[in-house]
Amino acid sequence: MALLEVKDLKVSFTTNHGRLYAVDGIDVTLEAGESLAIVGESGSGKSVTSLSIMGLIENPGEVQAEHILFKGQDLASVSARKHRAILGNELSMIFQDPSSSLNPCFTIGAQIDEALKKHTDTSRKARRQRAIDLLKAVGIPDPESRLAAWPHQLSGGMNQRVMIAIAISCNPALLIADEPTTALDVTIQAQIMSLLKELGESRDMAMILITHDLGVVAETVDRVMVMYAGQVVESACKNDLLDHPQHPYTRALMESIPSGRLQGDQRLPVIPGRVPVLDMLPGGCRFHPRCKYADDKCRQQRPELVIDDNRSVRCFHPLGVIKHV
Amino acid sequence: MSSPLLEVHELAKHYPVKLGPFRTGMLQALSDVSFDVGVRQTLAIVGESGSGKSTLARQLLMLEKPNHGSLHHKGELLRWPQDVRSMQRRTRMIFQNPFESLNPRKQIYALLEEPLINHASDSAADRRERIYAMLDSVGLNPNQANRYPHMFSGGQRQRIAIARALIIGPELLIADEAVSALDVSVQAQVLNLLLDLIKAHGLSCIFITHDISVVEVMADEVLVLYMGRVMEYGRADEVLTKPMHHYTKTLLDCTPRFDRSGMRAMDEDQLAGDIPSSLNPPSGCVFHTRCRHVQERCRVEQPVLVEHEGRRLACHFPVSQRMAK
Repeated sequence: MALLEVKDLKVSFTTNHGRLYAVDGIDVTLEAGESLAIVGESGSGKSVTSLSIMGLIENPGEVQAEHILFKGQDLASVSARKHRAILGNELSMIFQDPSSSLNPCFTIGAQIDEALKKHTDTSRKARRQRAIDLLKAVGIPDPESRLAAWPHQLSGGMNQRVMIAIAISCNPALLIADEPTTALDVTIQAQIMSLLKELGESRDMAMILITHDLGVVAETVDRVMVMYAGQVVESACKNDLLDHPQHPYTRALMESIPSGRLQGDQRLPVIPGRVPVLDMLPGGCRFHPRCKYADDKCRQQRPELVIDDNRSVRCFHPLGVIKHV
Repeated sequence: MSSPLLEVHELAKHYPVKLGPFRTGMLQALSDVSFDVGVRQTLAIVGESGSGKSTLARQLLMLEKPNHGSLHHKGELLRWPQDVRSMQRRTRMIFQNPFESLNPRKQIYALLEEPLINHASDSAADRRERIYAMLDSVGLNPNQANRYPHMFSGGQRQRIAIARALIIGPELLIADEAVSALDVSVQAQVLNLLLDLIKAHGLSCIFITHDISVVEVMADEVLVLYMGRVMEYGRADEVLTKPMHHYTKTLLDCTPRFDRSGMRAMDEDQLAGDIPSSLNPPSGCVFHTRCRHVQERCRVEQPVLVEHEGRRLACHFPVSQRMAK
């Protein structure tokens, strides 16, 4: 049985423009120890997907799904009490900006202790030792004295390490990381990503990494799911996807990353336009107004996600084996 | 040869910081920074947060009096504060976050009119014409001039910020992390726009960024800053393809790229630890605490910025020299 099995997830928000689907029918399956990246531009629904798995969508948002099975229990239908026992314990999450997700009024030690106290029955002394071990595991020097430090006394990278320590404090089976390094410098980003990778491997922890940076994807995960306007457009093994993207959107995303010097009047390849707003979704394929391969069929009919041999793509004209630059 | 547009000579800036009721420390934000920007040249300034990039930008706009050093414009010494206004007319800046740098209560028209009122002596009709022309050249519809910033997406707001910077016809454009808050696809659009405008207006440009891939696309020259000191300064194609300073090399190695997936062992080229506090800079070479190739001499003696194979470099044991050994 898969660790996480999400079937037909839909998240909608009631607005002045009616009911809008930020996530429109998504399936996610994740085995224990596997890592998956969800990639997309802002507005593609990647954060909403992760929040809905965590059960953190609030009014006016509404989550509908056939099921969200985590270790065999349906997260959508468990009681609030049971749900709280799972969150931060077997299922935990780290957020984008560490300095705004730590509480400035409590010390690092108190914030790590909070999760341990809630989910374990150990003595205060044992919890303290556990907190020290955790800080050591995430590579914070001098962990004993750091327990008494306040978030403002640590740098962004250190705070993100603390967030990771809190998230892994109860040995979660699944960690969701929502853009964990966007607010950090590249040198620190490399440290944090390899820490996450190493923790995933040593603890057999599955991970969902939400990112817009395909470079980060290339170095960390097993599988990639590309989202566009609330739908999965392509999903495949990391290497298959990066070497042979089949959806024009995936390929365009990869091409728009600057690489190398431009000669004379040469310009970067771009995706024209932008992600459509949810109340003005185009008919047919949602990507067609920005796609250079679009034809009449794309404008009129909605492509289904075609699953073929461990990878899937939502396109009428998937790209063949084309070398990307 | 005519003198460069802007010459920066041994610029230094420190800030007093209160450490306690009776103790004041000196934060060395910039020390001994020298470089020049030629007409129609683009210089990229690269460094982590805390390296003094933004302090340098403030100095170039003459927002603060430097503690030491001088600026020359086309060979003429700029005096503080007499020449501030003329310098600010010639030098315009684009900021990182387009959500914060535009006044939310002003219409786009008013935002663009403000620099014209302050720095140019046009009639209202001339201003109107210039504003509409400018909006058009940054790819916005002049019909949108009476909208407010919140009605635009991130990429469009950055276009407005660019229009605002260029409307009075500056000679030098300073872009402080101008594209790092944007999605890759939008980032490519904005970079292309900047390349076009720089060419069309014959601008010199200082591009402050931490993203090496952006530097490759934009810059003729690159200056690597670490803790307020210049580590390496030279032609962008040379520095980026053959870095000689270990810090530059690490920055390049840390940048995730999808075309090198799995090619490198993650911990091989990582930097240990954070950037040290500028209040208490390390002895000797400021980078020695994080350098993997540190030797005794680096801990004691501060390397001077010297001419080395056509670029300037501050390292006792440059990369290639060691490789040869």
